[in-house]
Amino acid sequence: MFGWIFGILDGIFGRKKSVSLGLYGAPNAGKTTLANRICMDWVGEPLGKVSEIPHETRVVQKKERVVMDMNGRKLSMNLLDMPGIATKVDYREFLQYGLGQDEARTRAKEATKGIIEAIKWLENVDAALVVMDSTEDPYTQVNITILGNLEARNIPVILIANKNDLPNANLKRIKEAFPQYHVVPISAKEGKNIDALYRAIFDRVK
Amino acid sequence: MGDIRIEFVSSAALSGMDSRGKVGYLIDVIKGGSIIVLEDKLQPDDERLLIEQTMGMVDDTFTGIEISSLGSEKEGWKSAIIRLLGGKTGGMTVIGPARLIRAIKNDSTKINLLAGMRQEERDGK
Repeated sequence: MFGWIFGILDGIFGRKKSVSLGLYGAPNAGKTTLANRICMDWVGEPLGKVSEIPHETRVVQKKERVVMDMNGRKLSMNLLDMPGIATKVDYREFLQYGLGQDEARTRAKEATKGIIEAIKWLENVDAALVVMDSTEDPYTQVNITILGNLEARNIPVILIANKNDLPNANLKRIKEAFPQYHVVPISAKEGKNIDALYRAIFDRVK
Repeated sequence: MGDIRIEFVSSAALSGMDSRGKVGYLIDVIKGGSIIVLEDKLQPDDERLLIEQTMGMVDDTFTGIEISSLGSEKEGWKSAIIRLLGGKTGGMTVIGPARLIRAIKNDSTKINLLAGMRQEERDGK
């Protein structure tokens, strides 16, 4: 009933109507799988293509006005699925996945541009989900650099321990590496514990 | 046998430089084919700029960098003052060309590095 009044007040006091939520992490951590899960749950359509070949996402993929609704509370977000951040890109790595020389070189070039774009976005997101593969060592320089930059800008962060359904997943290792962060273990692929993530987003993303 | 050059850089060498100056210095050394051991932890902004700039240089021969650092992740007011006064806050950063660093692994107290040239590089191909 008072929605339009609040809308005007929000406009006057400058409160954002949608928050920009960035998904960050290393290549193949499962960012796009998670983005697709969120979009399917709240918008009814996926966001991007998933592949086992690293650097499948090479441009920032956006889904605007994803509205989450939990117990009558609403949160409107612009979801930003970032290219995976890496410190090295070697086209030869893609040859191992059956890509030809030209295709591999093109993919490498696009991947480096995507990394630069994702890095530039670090100062423009309102909140971030930093996605880690629970089966891999989380204490990498890429994760440290991403978290350090978000923290330096006081951007709220939720750590996602993804692929937590796999037998060699190690949640404890992520919690011990980054004890100061709220960690949510999930399987984006299977949808396991995804409600806990949504609650965390509601609690921490304003 | 291919030689690997390691350059040990004191924190004093980079003090007084802004982020672009530091990153420019580091890139010059890395592109020259050396591994750097820096007596300081790079700040998040420096790391970000370093990755951004080196990604723009990637081609068939330069595939980027490997980097690992030790030290506090958060720049508190104490370390900010120490830096302003030209002091050392502790920490260490190791950076090198990705083609030379086969593996790099760190935890909060140590960095483990395995360096070596690929066969074709040793053969000069």
